[in-house]
Amino acid sequence: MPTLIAFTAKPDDAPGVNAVAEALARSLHLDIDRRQLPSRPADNSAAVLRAVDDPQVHMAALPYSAGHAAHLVTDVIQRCPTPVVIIPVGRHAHPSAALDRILVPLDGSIESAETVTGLVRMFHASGADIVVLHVFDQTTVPKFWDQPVHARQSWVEEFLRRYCNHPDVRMELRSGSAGEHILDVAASEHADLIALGWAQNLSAGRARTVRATIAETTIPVLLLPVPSGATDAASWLSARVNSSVGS
Amino acid sequence: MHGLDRTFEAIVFDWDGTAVRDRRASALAVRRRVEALCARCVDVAVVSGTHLGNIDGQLAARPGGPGRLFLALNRGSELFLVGERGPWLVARRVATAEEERGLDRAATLLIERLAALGLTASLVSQRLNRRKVDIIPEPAWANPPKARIGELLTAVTDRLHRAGIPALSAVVDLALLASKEAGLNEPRVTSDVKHVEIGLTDKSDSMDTLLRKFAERGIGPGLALVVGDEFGALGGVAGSDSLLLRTVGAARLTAISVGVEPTGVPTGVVHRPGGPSTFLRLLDEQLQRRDHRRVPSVDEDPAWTLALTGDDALSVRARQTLLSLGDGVIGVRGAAEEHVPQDGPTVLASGVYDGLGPAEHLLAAPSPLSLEIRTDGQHAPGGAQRRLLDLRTGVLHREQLDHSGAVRTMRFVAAADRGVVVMRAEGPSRRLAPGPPLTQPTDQPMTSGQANGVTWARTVGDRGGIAAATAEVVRRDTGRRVIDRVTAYATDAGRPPPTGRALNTLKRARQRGFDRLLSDHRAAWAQRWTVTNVSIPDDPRAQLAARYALFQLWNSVARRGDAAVGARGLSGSGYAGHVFWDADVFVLPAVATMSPAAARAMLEYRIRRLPQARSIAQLKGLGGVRFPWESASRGDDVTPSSGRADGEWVPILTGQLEEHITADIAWAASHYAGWTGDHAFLDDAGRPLICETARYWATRARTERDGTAHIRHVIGPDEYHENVDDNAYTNVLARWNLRRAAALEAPSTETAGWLRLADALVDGHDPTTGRHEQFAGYYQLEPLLVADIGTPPLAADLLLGAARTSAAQIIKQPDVLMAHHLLPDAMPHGSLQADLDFYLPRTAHGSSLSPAITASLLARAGRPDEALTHLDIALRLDLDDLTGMTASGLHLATLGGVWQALLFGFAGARVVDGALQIDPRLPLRWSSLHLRFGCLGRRVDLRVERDAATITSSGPLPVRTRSGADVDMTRQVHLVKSDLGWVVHR
Repeated sequence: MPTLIAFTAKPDDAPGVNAVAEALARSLHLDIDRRQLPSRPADNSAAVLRAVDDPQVHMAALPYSAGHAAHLVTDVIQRCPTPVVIIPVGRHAHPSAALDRILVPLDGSIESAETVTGLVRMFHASGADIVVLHVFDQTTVPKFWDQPVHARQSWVEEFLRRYCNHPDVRMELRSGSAGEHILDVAASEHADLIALGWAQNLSAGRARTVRATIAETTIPVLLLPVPSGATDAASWLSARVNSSVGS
Repeated sequence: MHGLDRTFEAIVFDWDGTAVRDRRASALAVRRRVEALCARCVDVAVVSGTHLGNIDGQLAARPGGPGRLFLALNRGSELFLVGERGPWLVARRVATAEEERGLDRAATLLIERLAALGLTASLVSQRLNRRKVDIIPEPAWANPPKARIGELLTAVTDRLHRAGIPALSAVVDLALLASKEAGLNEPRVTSDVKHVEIGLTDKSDSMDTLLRKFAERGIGPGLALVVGDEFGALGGVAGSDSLLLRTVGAARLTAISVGVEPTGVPTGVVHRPGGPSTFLRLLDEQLQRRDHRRVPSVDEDPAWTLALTGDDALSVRARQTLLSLGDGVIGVRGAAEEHVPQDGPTVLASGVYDGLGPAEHLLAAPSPLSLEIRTDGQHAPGGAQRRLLDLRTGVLHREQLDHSGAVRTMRFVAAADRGVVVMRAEGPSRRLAPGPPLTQPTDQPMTSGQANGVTWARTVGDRGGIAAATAEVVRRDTGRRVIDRVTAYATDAGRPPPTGRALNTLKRARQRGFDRLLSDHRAAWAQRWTVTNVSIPDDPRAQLAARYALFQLWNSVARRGDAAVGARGLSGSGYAGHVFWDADVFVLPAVATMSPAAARAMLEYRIRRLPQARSIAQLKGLGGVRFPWESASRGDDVTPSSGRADGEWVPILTGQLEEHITADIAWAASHYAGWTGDHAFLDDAGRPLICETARYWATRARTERDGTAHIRHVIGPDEYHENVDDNAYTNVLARWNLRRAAALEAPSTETAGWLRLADALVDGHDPTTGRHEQFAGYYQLEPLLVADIGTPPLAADLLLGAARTSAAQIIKQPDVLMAHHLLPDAMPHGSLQADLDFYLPRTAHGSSLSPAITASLLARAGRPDEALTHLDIALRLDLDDLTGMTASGLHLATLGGVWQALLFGFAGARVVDGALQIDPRLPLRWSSLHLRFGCLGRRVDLRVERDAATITSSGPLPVRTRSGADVDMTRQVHLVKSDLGWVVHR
């Protein structure tokens, strides 16, 4: 049976971690395997990675709070082959026992879309609202945007058809950097979970969005490993739309 | 015999040895087949060196059409067309007296030179435009049959060797030398082994003429079959039938030899020996393909076809848009047959809307495209597929493969039959089955039924509706299934059309049949390309993209009634089919060069909505007419009033403030009249478009105490800056509008007021800098350049946010420069360069309207290489889906802008005071540019090279050079580039 392993580090973590793990298990049809992290922090990463090294383990849940277990999380999420849900614990955490609304930031790469699409389908089937967020930055801003209302409608419709083709999915657009907008949108949309694809690389200058999101989030963040070699979607599509003679 | 698996629309064949054994043989079998092929719309041509009496006497075919029978005789010097009453001469090459003397002299010289070598030869005949020399005048070889060609060659070669002549080719060379010596300019020397002929024409001339004739019906070389019996070289001399392949486009001809061909056939020629019996089987095969309703072939000319291979879920909708077809009334997206209807509306109708206010949108029509296609046993999409959009003939061809065979489909929206969509499909029975003849669009109620074997359906909007009727024929034999579907549409913008209208149209279309519908459709497209076309030999990619632009413009605009041309035409539901200034300023000028009737229909759309425009002005307490920024069926304002931006609902002010559209429409009316020469339009129906709009500006502008007049609180073309005062573009257009109206009306107090107001309107021009300020206060904005934020084109407002963008000098698209584009004579001398230099670094080109117009302006300003970089973007905007939104429809304004850039920019074409003026500027990448377009009631052919140009007109045309004041009324004028610019070469 596909399993979610939910780790807790200390008793205070348990209510939040368990609530989220149970909600995820219900939505994604997973069994839950609850485990306590080793008492020696130095052993934690190895313990988690050992545990997920099992074909039946489809997801891991880890508690997180600034300062506490941060090292564990940053280490594990870069090495863990399965999705990891980071569950904020502590004073400002608001983990929900129900996953009614999922925020799915998509950067317009094929790989991240493919990474999240299966989960989106399952969340959608479980009755959750799906809100897709795309943030225009210097590399993803469209070249053309004619009449704002019509352009938005056309662009959003096509973006969703390409990257998140499910009925009733809503989309939010922002300008700036994804890291600065994800949490705001999550809050304004009352999202219960953020599902974020990423390349599992926290080296300098990389994964600014993931860093910013997990550092400040008050709701669980589901990190989904994206296969390496993600391509810029615009150029990928341009090549495919027009494989014409004479082009 | 192995079949060619290809359907040809024209068949060209040699006579002796190919169609008949000899001149005495019965040709009845050929005649029957030729007449049958013509009846099935195939063009047939006999090419022979002999004269009419010989061929027509033996063939005696009297076809009743619609396919044509040509006799290209006398070795390329004559062309006859044969009908039910017999042949008549279409063209004859008539030699001059000097040429006749040259031919005689050349033949005499050849005979003398051969005699000097010890070879007896004799002049056997003086045929039309040629002389025939017998080089083996021996009784044993008096009249050798074709079957003995090998023996004849041996005998001739032996004879030549005895005279010390190495080969037959040496005799041909001698003949060529003799011809040159005799003063013949372009002699044609041929040999059938026994003879050497010196002439003015040969079979290549026949083929050139025939291909031009076929082209009149949209039949390209790739749809022509050439059959002969002498393609291979004989004695070192090219076979006489190989001359049929020495013509432009020969590489795409299919050539078959049914002859003996002792030395083999050239590369590319298929050898099927067997003589006339093989030839008859080839004709039978073509007839059978028609009887079996095989999907017709496409001429895969890379200069005319858009080929899309493969299929992927991500680009599928953009491709559907790219492969759209239409007749201006009905638009059909390029959806795969098995995808209908889940990918959204596939058929839209011009001017037929549903909904109210900003939600008003084009009504989706019943779709006639649905088929069940199984791929590897599944209904899901898959397999390998290739789609070809043939721009030359307006057909979409598809081949979809799996391990068990190909499903092929062809469809077209009939160019010769309004509102008729035709589709044929063939494939293995286990893969292909008919779906519902008419499919209900997603989320759109549809009523349907059947009557007398015809399926009808109708969708109805808030006012109008679309009725469709489909007749389907399904045939199955030997494991194959063929589906023919003809669908007729009836549309009505004001009330639901009775299905009877569609049924009547369908009845007429069915009576004509698939072959005739397709033949007439091809011919209609061929006719269109004679009116408007572009050739850029050095830039085939740009050429194809520019032809694609013209193709989709033809598809998008109706030629009668009132044409509501939405921002995406009929190629998609984007922009809801709303009509913007895109139609009047970007599309109409291009359409006016293609079809004045279509441009007139676009203006009729505005004329019929004058009452609503008057009401809008009245509501604002103003006079005249004010056209809405977005309109749909009725002409009331359907601009959305708010939209989402950065998570907030923000007001959309274009409907309230983007008023320049009122002057844009006046400009369109004036431009149409000036370009087409339809000046009566402004005396009659078109006059209110100019005079009533002037009345609006007369009440809209305010004259202040200092005597200056102002138009405050507007949005110009640069929509990054809202609610500005004295937008230069708006004021320049309004000023022009007032003056143009005053010129149309009899002088009066009112017109005097218009002229005073026009003079008083400020336009931001500063004589010291030579440039215009885009609006009052623009220079005080943050002096941000586009290079500071990224590489254009880019949507700067999305990147910076609306607030920052509006506070900066970065602009969306040409604004001041747009005034230069529309009204070059209204702008101060020298200001174009100054405005280009200032505004281009500030232009983000975040509007799809921007690149083409920028290209046009840069070319006009003498900066064609810079212009080309912008044109390239415009050309690829949809083809490469640069917007990410092509899925929702083609950017019609860009397509119109592309043609404007080529014609008005790079060719510098304008109509000034009733005369065509050109001022070409070619970029380094192009050594030539060839444009065809309509102007002042004439068809104009403009050929531009770097330092020379030729204008050829279908009738007397006033032509003026930019630097010259003289006007030539001419059918052809040569221009050369001088220090003074382009001047007439006399």
